[in-house]
Amino acid sequence: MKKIQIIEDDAALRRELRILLEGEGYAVVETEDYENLAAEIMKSEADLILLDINLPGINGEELLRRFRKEKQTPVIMLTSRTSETDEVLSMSYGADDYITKPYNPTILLLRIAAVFRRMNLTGNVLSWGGLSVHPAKGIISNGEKEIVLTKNEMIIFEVLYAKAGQIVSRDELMTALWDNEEYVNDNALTVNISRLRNKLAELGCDGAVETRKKQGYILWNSENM
Amino acid sequence: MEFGKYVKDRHTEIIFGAVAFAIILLLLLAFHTPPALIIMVMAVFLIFMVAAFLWDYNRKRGFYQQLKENLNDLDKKNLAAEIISEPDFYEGKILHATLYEMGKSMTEQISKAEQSVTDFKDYVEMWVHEAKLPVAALLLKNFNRGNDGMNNGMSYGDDIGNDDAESDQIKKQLMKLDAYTEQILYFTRSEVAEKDFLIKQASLAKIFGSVAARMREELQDNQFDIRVSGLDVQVMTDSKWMEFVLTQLISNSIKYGAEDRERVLEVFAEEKDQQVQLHVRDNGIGISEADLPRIFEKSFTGENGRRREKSTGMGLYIARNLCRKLGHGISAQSVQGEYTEFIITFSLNDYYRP
Repeated sequence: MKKIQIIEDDAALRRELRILLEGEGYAVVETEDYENLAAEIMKSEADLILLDINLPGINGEELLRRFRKEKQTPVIMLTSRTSETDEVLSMSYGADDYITKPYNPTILLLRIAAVFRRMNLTGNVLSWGGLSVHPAKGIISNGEKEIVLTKNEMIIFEVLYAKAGQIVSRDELMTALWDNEEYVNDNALTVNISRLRNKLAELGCDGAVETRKKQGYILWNSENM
Repeated sequence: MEFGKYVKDRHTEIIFGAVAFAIILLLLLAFHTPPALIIMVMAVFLIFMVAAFLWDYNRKRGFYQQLKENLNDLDKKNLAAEIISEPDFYEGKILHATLYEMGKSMTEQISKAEQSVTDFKDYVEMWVHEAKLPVAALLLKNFNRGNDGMNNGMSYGDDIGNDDAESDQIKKQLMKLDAYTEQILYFTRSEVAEKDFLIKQASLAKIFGSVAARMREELQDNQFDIRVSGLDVQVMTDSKWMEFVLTQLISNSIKYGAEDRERVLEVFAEEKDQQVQLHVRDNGIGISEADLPRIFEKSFTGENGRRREKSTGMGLYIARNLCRKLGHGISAQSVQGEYTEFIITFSLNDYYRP
């Protein structure tokens, strides 16, 4: 289970974030000592850190800058500051993403998943069942046959893959597509999903994507197939 | 300083002089002074009178002329007295001292006013950041509640049960609240003299992307078809400010969509003559010809604003001010009943181009 540390001094927000992340299957590491954040963050053993900018006694950007000198744990800045300067500073200090409050929870989860996916790519290949998937190249193959996925199909596949075995709602798929500058409508989403299904079937994975009526879709784990 | 007006202004002295001249002449005549002496005395009298008169005119003219020129040339008229040398005549000294004091007090007041605007802006910035926290917490809580429902096997997705409808409403209201707080933030940012933006290279696709992702539900609830093209262009701008501007334009497109046809939002960019033009075009109800020239005015609501949803008339005003500060052009075209198109023009040959 991936561990995520939340560094956010607003207690209400922290509590809700925790519920959100735990609901998604992450383990949440709470930050105990907000007085000595600089020391606290250095000890962090989380797989990812969500870091606020307006923190008591220290600026999150400064904290990030010091942290980056020693550790490479991915950091997503979560902030209510909406100025270009803050974003540029955060990114130049080595933030992996920058999300402004109030955030769309689905987008937040997708961005977290995207950071983990980037970390996990071994040689840019995802493996799923007997298939290997190259998200960057848009190629999926079963060793004998290669099939090209469109950008939309690949985005959908990646979201389903990240939550394999769980229901993914149409809303989540839609959010992921729009977050990747693909402004598809409802019909187009249906078409994209059925194309993805057909392509998977061509590689011998019939029924890999199951429709749950009025709930969404499930990509079955390779073991369950 | 005109000579004629100066003479007219000093007519009492001239009259006194003339009377003195006449009395002396009569006295000299009465005492049977020789004519040659009379002519000499009167000539000396006249020459010195005129000389004194001209000398006075000349020194005053130098001072007032400079003052007038300063006043014409200066952008900030209250500083006119600061850059003039003190005159050597008494009235001028009084005037100079007065102007100097007035200018100083004016400058003090201006800087006080500017300071208080800046303080207010800082306060608004802080306030908005604080206000976003409870909004963010509520949005999350609302989302978490919905998810709870799903885990318990309750309705979810397309099947909108009461719970979902309610959580949807809560979300929309919270998003509205957030939009209002953003508006006041950008309003104060656009009113303050100090430079509060960061111009750097930014991709239009990315800017529109984050606006669209944030407005997705609103756009899809209103059945918008989004067509983008040519957005892979880099422009020099502050992307956060631009996102706010685009949000204003798009929320107008949503507000003023036409009921009788499929809604389309086209966003495209073209590069020409050292400029990039970003077009945001909808096929909504459009703007009447009478209203079109005034849509960027403060508090202007127009026909559409009155008839449809209530409008504050601030969105486009702020958008235009932000564009001005960033050095971009913004304009609108529309045919009532057909379309509205906003065009934002980014200069490519700006001095800060990379």
